[in-house]
Parts: sequence; C-alpha cells; structure tokens
Amino acid sequence: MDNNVGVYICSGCDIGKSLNVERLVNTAKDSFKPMVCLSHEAFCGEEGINLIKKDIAEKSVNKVVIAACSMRAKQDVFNFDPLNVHTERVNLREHVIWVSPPNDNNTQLLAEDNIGMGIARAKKAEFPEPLVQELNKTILVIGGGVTGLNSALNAEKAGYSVVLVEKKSNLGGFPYSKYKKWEANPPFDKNILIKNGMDELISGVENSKNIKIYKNSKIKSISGAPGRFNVEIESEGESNKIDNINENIGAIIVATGWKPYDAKKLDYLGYGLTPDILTNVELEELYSDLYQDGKNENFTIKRKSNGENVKSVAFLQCAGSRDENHLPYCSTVCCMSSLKEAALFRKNNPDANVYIIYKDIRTPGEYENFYRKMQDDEGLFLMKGIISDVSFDKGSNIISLKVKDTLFGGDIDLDVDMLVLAAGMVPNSGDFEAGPEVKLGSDNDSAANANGASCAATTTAGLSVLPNKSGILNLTYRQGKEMPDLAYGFPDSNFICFPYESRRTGIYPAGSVRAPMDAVFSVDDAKGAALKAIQCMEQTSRGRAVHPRSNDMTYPFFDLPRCTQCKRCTEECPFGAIDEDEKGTPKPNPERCRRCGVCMGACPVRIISFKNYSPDIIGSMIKSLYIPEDPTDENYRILVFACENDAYPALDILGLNKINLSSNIRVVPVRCLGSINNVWYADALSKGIDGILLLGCKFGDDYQCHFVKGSELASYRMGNLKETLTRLVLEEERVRQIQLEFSDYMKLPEIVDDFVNKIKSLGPNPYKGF
Amino acid sequence: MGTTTIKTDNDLIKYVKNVGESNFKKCFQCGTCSAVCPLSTEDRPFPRKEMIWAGWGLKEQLASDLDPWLCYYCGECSKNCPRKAEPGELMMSLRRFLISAYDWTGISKLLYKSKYAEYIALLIVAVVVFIEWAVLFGFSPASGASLNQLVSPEKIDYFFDWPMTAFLGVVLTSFIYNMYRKTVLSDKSVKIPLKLYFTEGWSLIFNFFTQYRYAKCDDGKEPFYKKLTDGKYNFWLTHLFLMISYVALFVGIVFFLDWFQKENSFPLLHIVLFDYFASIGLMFGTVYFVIKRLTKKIERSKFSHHTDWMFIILLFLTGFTGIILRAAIVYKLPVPWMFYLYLIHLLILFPMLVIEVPFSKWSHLAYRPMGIYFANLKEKAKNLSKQV
Ligand code: SF4
Ligand code: SF4
Ligand code: SF4
Ligand code: SF4
Repeated sequence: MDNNVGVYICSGCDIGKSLNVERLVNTAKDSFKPMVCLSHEAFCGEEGINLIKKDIAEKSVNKVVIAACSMRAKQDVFNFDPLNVHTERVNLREHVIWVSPPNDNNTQLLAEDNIGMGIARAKKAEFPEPLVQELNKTILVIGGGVTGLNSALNAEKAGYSVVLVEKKSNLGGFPYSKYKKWEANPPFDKNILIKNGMDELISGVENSKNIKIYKNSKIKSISGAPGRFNVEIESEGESNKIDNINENIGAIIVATGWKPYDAKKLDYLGYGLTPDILTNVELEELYSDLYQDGKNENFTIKRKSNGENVKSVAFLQCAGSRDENHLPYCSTVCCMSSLKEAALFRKNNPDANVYIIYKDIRTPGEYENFYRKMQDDEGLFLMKGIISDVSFDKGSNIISLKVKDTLFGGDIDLDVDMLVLAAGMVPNSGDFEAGPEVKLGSDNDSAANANGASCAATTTAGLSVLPNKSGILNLTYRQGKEMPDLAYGFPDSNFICFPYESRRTGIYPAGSVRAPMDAVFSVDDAKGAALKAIQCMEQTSRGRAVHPRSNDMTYPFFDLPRCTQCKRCTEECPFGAIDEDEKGTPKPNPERCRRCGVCMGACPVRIISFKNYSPDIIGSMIKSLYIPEDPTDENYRILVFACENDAYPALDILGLNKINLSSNIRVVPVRCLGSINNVWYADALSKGIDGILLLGCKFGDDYQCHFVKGSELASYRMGNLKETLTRLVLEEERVRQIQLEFSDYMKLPEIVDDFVNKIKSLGPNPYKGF
Repeated sequence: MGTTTIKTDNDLIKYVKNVGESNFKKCFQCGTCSAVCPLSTEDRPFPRKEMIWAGWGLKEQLASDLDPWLCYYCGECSKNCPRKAEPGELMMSLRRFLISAYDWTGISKLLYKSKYAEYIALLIVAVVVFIEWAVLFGFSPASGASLNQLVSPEKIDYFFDWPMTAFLGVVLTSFIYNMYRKTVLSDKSVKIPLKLYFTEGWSLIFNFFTQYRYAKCDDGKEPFYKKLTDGKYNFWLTHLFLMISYVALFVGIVFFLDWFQKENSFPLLHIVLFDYFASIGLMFGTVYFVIKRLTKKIERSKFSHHTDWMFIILLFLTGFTGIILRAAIVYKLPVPWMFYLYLIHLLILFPMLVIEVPFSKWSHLAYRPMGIYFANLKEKAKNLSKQV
C-alpha cells in the first residue's frame, strides 16, 4: 500500500496568530518527510479544500493529515472517500490554541507533537474493508402483546417482513384479559374495554400478509448474528404435536412483557388470609368476570368470601415494589391502575369507601390530572403510610390494617371488606432463579399466577423439563442464553444515553420487559425498537457499525494462529460478540461487533487490531512524541488517553470556552478506555512519559460508558498494571483514571493540574532518556 | 403518638363541603399550610391535621378539636397551599361545623345547610315580636303621649330584653357545656386541676376584650407601630371596635334601657360612649366588613357563606335603625315616627339576637374565647403533668 502522506496545516481560526505555522510546516517536513506539507488560511474553505482534493487526484495523496479543528468539527467538509483516503484530523484549535497561551514555546511544542502523532497514525493506518453482504432482513418479534403487536405492525409498515412468536394461543398478551384501561387524555373518563381496543390491533396483525404468526410457540434457540440469525421455533400445533421450525432472521425485538410479582411472596401483607385479599391483577380479573357474567358494565362488586356487596376497600400501593427485600424499583403502572380501579369501584359500588395507602403517588405528566380529579371524590381516601400489619378476623369477616408513619401523626387502624395489593411488575426476561415460578416467567398469561394453588400443579409439572434459567431467547452465545441485565432483571442498556440499545447487537428488548412501563409508553417503545431493528439490519448489510460508532466500517481482525486461547476477548466483549470453539479459540462475529476495541485492549498477545486502530498504531503515535530531557516544569510530559465519546468532546467544549489547560499534556483519543492495551503504558513509560491520565466515562450502577463495561474494565486492568509498575520501581500514582461526564468539562483544568502536580511531586520518569 | 381508628363519616364530609368552599379533598398533606401559619404550633399542626381529618371524615377527632377556634383566618395557609386546597377556608367551615356540633338542638345545622331555613327562623322570631308588640302596645299610638308612655322601658325589659337574655344565657351556656364535654372532658389524656380554671380565667377575659391573637396573625418582624401604620392591624382593630361597640350597646340596652329612651341621665358618658363611640363602631365596622366581602381582596373575605351575609346585614340594620331611633329621640321628632321606628328596630334586633347568637355565626363571640381558654387549660395541664 502506498503511503502518500499529505499534511495540511491550517492557519485559520487564529491558529496562525497563536502558532508559528511556518515552523510547524518545516518541522513536519524535516521529521516526517511527508509527500506534501502545506499551510493555508482556511482549508475548510473552497480554495483550501480544493488544494487537498487536487493533491489527492494528482499526486495520489492517500493519507490526509489535516491539522486544524477538532475531528468533531467540519466533518461534512473533510469527507474524502474513506475506502481510498485515510483522513487524520489533528486538533490544533480546540486542544491547542484555545486552551494554551498564544505564541508560547510550550504551545508550539504541543502543536508539533499533535501533528507528529497524527502523521504517525496516518502512516500506519490502513483503509477499511467493510463487510458488505446480502443479509436477511426479516424481523422476529417475540411476544404478541401491546409492544409486540405494535412492533410487528410498525416494521411491516416500513416494508419489512415479520415473524411473530407468541407463547399463548391468542394474541393480545397480558392486558387482553383485563377489564378496562385508562385513558391517556383528560378528562380520563372514557375508559374503554381493553379487549375492544386491542382487537383492532390484533386483526391488523393477523390480516397482514407480511407478518407470519406462530402461536403456542416458543424460541428453542437463536444462533448467528444480525442479518443471519438462525432461529429455531418450537410450535405446538393441533393435538399437541410439536413442530420445529427454522426461520432466518435479520434482527429481533424482544417484547415478552411482564408478569405480576409473585403474590405468595406478599403473605406479609396478608395475601392468602382470605379471598378478599387479592392483587390488583386479580381484581381486574374479577371485574372481567363480573362483566362477562352479565355483559353489563353496571355490575356490583361483591366479596369473594360471602358474595356480599363490598362496602369498603383498601388499596395497598407498592406491594412488593420499592422494597429492598422484594422489587427495589417502582413498577410505574400500579399507581395509575389502582386509581383507575378505585374509580370503577366508586362508580359501581357508590356506597363503598375506597382507601389508598401509598408511599408516594406516582402519576407523572398528564396522569397527574387523573389523580387530581380522583382526589375530589368524596368516597376516595388517600393516605401516605407504611403498612405494618394486616390481620383477618374470621368471625366478623373483617380485614384489619395497621398503618404506621401516617400523616395523622401516628398509626392508624382501618377495617375494610376487601384489600387490594398493588403488586409490582417483573420482567419476562427469562433471567431468574429456578423455582415454581420458572414456568410462569416464560408465560405471558398471568392467570396461572393469579389463580394460585389450582395452577401450582401444572406449574411444577412443567418445571421438570425446564433448565435452570428459563429460556426466552436461548441464545447459543458464548456469554449466555439470555440478555444481560442492567438492573433487577431488566435487560436494559443505558437508560441515560440510549434507551433502545441493548448489549446484544440486533436484539432489542422493548416495552415492559425493557423497563417498567405502561401500555401507552410501550406503544412508543415498540416503534423505537422496530426502527432500531431496521437500522441494525441495514447498517450491517452495508458493513457499517451501529450505535455508538455508527457507520464505522472497520471491525476487529484476529490473527488467530498467534492466539493463546486465553479467552479474555470472548469473556470481556461487552456485547457478547465473540463465540468460542471447543479449544477456546475465539470465533468473532463482526455483525455482532460494536467496534469498541475492548477485545483489542484485552488481548495479551496483541493479535486483535482494526485497520485504523491497533496496539501498533497507537504505540507509534506515542513513540513519535518529543520528550525533552531537561527536567524543568514545562518539560513534564503527561499522556492522556481520552475516550472519544465523552472526554474528548469535553476537552473540545473546554476549548470552546477558552479555558486554559496545562501544556504538559498530550491527548491520544481512544475508542473506549476499555480498548487501551497494557502495552501502551509500557510504550509510554519507556519513552519517558512522566504520567498517564485516563479520562473516561463513569462506571458502576449508573454507568455512562458507551460500551457499558469499557471504562470499568480499564480500571480493573489497571490493577494488574500497578503491580508491574511497582516491579519496575515506578510509583503506581503515575497512572490515574478519572471518571468524567461530558458536562464535567469545567473540572478538567483542575483534574489535569492536580495530576500534573502529583507527577511533579514524584519527580520525572527515571527511565527518561534510556 | 396515638393510634387513630378510622371511622369514616361520609355525611360529615358532605356537610363540611357544603358549609364552605374549601377543596380539602385536594390536600396531599405537604404541610406547607402549618409551616406558614403564624398561629399553628408543633403540637397543634393545624390546619394540615384538620385537612386530613375532614378529608377522611373523622367526626370524633373534628368534634373534639379546639384548633379551629385558634385560627383567625389570616389566609397565609390558603395563599401558600400548592394544591389550592383552601385550608384557611376549611378552618372556617369547621367553625361552622363546630357551632352545629355544640348545638344539641340541631337548629344550627339546619341554618347552615339552607339559607331558606335561616330566613324562616328569622321570620318566625319577627312574627313573635310583632304579635307581642301588637298585644302590648297596639298599633295606634295615642297622640300627645311621649315615647316612654307609649312604649314603656319596663315592658320592653320584662317582655323582650330580659326573657331573651335569659334564653340566650341558658341556651349558650348549655352549648358551651356541650363544647366543654366534647373538647375537654372527652379527652382522657388530660386531667385539668381545678385551680387552673381560675388561674387561666384571666386569659379568657383578656382574649375576649382584646382579641389579641388577631395581632399574631402577622408574624412579620417589624415593630408594632410599623405594622400599625402599614395597616396590618386594620382588620383586628376594626373587629375589636365593632365587638366592643356591640357589647357596650348590648349591655347598655339590656340593663339600662331607660338611658336610651329618655334623653339623658349621664349625659356625658351616654353621648360619648353610646351615641358616638358605639354607633360609629357599629356602622364603620359593618360597612368595612361588607366592603371586604364584596371586594374579596383578602383571603379571609374571599368566600362568604349565606350566614356571614345575614349576620352582617342584620347587624348593620339593627345598628342603623337603632341610631335613627336614637336620633329621633335626641332631635325630638314626632312621636308616632319614633313608635314605628321602634317596632322596626325590634323586628330586626330580636330575630338577629335570638337566631344568630346561639345558632349561627354570632356564637363565635362565646366559642372563640372559650376555645382559647380550653386550649390553654389543656396545654397548661399537659405541661404540669409532664413536669411531675
Ligand atoms: S407506580 Fe406507584 S404503586 Fe407502583 S411501585 Fe411505583 S409508586 Fe409504588
Ligand atoms: S470490538 Fe468490542 S464489540 Fe467488537 S468484538 Fe471486540 S470487544 Fe466485542
Ligand atoms: S398546604 Fe395545602 S396541600 Fe399542603 S398540607 Fe396544607 S392544605 Fe394540604
Ligand atoms: S387561616 Fe391563618 S391562622 Fe388559620 S390556619 Fe390558616 S394560616 Fe393558620
């Protein structure tokens, strides 16, 4: 491959006023001998860009190094054909002149180093060879509830064919058996029958020619990658005959919904004492039954125990939810559904008093209007409090509640005819412990759960054949059969940055299996997931990455003959992209890869590389640095690995605000801190770098790492590094990782100064000059 | 803190809703109202506590509650309530509820529920007065006779003033006893030492004659005179002026009717106290409150119940007819005029006193100081028992 490097040093945007551009050009020419080296007052202008284009056309320049603004600026101008021209952006504006004093020798040295690193990288970089392929573009939707149906319809509308797999014999999912839904619009009184609302949706799906429906079916296995998934479906036909069907699938939407929290675990709230203590779902079913009995909405709600009219009922909110011992999160739907059920109670049993005991009433947005309206009801009593005891007196058939921490300034005693436990929402994500619930977990129908004992027998019978973890997806992936959870069993990705993403490329959970949400939100979620699925298939077939490195055409190359089968890459890939053969040799799946480079950082023998990003490329950038030996203050050199997602932009914003930063630092952008290979530390320290600072995203429970585990892995690997440093008699403080949010840019000068000062206090790197 | 047993009284909720304009069901118990209330204390977190009691229909708690009598409706709570639940107005409604709760006859409840009931009650008393007058004095004043000959003060005393005063005395006392029973005796947690009743007596009298708690409605840090010149005390002072005028006249008329019907016996006292001070107080006070209720600019005059209007209008008319009558006497207008004016005056005065004082808004004249007195007793007793 020809290495025709052209270096273009821009003097616009005050670069020329702050730096000696002529000297930069000469230094670049002397040290790197590029084919072309020019300066111009605005390379982004027509004249400037034409100069570059001319060199590309006439002199066959194929490595364009543009020393000007940040790589995040002017991407639309410097957009040469990536397959034939490598474009390297050297940031002289945001990272040099905007953060350093003008016409200062240290500023000049900083600029020179940055140009040097850019040229070093450009020289080594190869052109991407995107994996363009004909791929399957059928979308598999798992689950035929609100989310599944909407996903299927949306995907179909966008022109894609869909395969829909539903566990039960009918579509409609969880709410289908429920009585009424609430209106999402004021005045919230047009509660319609759910069935009527859903039948339209169901027939839309059933009548579509592009949606193939498998009812009574489940997923036996999924293998492959986006665009080439092979899905085995186990379908129960007539007379219980099991058919195995194979479908080729492009992308997958998981819409397996939720199930109510196991009511038996709510025995501390009196569940099981009397049939008059029931869950919200059971109450819905009671409404349904009463309605079905008379085909009339004006039924009176009667006690299950003795058939008498219910005169008082209490709803207990957060039954099991927001409780460390049960479900630590808010299930989001129960406040609204209790209010809705209470409204129905008040309408159908107008003499009944309805009490709602809550921790907080959570009815955000428009729903607040419904809450306010309900508050006015003379027969509705809302009270903040914590239930401390539920007891039942058989003789009088009365349920007695004790509530503590109430706003009555003490405890209250309350006697009621009926108690409704607003039980929470558990995702049907197939990732939980074995137990009698396992079958239920894979079951969209809550009736089995709600009917309690009568169903237990069938449940247990089904259990014996089930594996330890229930199988919703049954992936054949090396990292496990199901989606990894973010928290509490919800296979969410990052709730802050990218709600529809997941950690299994091409598989998108949506609706209440993704996070607790109601039907209204699930409809939107379904659209989002359908779009994600489509985007993934289209991008993958063009050989481009999906979020967050959208459009990246490189992918990791494994030089397998040198692989030691240490399995680090297959274990550490945050997206489970790499499978393994029996011997432990990685089997990469570029379609599943998100191009984070974590595998590259993990590999101890450095056999994983991207065309334009590899241990060698970054290593040569480091080696290109000029390290002065004279141990004066300004000659300390700090290498900064800055994550391209947050830390690099934060540095840009700091520049935009013209806030000075120490000129001792040299910034190397990295795809993710997880892609840092330990060899770079060695490269840097042996070169004479005095300290290394890692700027990357937050990790932990509310991580912000765009590759989920990258920054955490970096810090974990640094643990090992520190031992090595100690062996080399280098202070471990010479390497530091800082977790940074984009919005933390104002903290950067302090972070950097602090580190520089620390290094100065340690003294220069003793290996300097060796 | 004790345990509250919930016994929801749905009728009570309806009643309280009915006798005022508080949206107490809207309350979500944030406590802002009690925090801003200049009179509420940590032990008595009103009006938040009343909001939830009313919302949940807890009759027992509400009927034994003295705190509505401690509230002067400064309206700070209503102004600051994030839910616009009108807690100040609830306290007002609760005073109406309490008036009907202390009244064992059930008349108050009727009067508060329906304005027609109030009209009819007033009318009945007026008819009785009319008949009495017809029997005692007839309708054809003999020419040449003086007013005192036509309408003898003794007869007025014997047949009107004193029976009425006795009636009011008995009825109000029984109501106050009822109040005492519900609010003090029913509270088993405190025992009030006999001595306290006497030592706290001064506060009863002090509060009755100064309504000093009104001054606390403004808890701003400015000095007294600054608040005074800023008009922060206007409402209190007007109310006080009106009340003292009224009491002076009431006592004067009931016990020294002679003074009013004849020209003078203690001319100076008479002219200064009754003809000027009290007359002005009555007219000024009533007109002031009417204006406030019409303009609705301050919280405590934003909502007016029909009993409020009736009370203030009757009071104004009583004062007005009384003053004209008095003027007629002083300026020696023709006696028949005085004769009929007298009748009209009584036709307004008596219904007002008989109906409004024990059964309606005017009873606050007794309940409020008693409420403060009882509250003081309980608090002192509690403190004493804590010290032991
Ligand atoms: S929605 Fe309401 S009841 Fe349900 S968990 Fe959240 S706060 Fe509790
Ligand atoms: S680059 Fe990232 S996503 Fe791709 S295989 Fe490596 S670790 Fe996995
Ligand atoms: S301020 Fe309003 S909402 Fe808050 S406790 Fe008082 S009355 Fe209730
Ligand atoms: S009206 Fe004033 S005194 Fe009465 S409760 Fe409200 S803030 Fe307190």
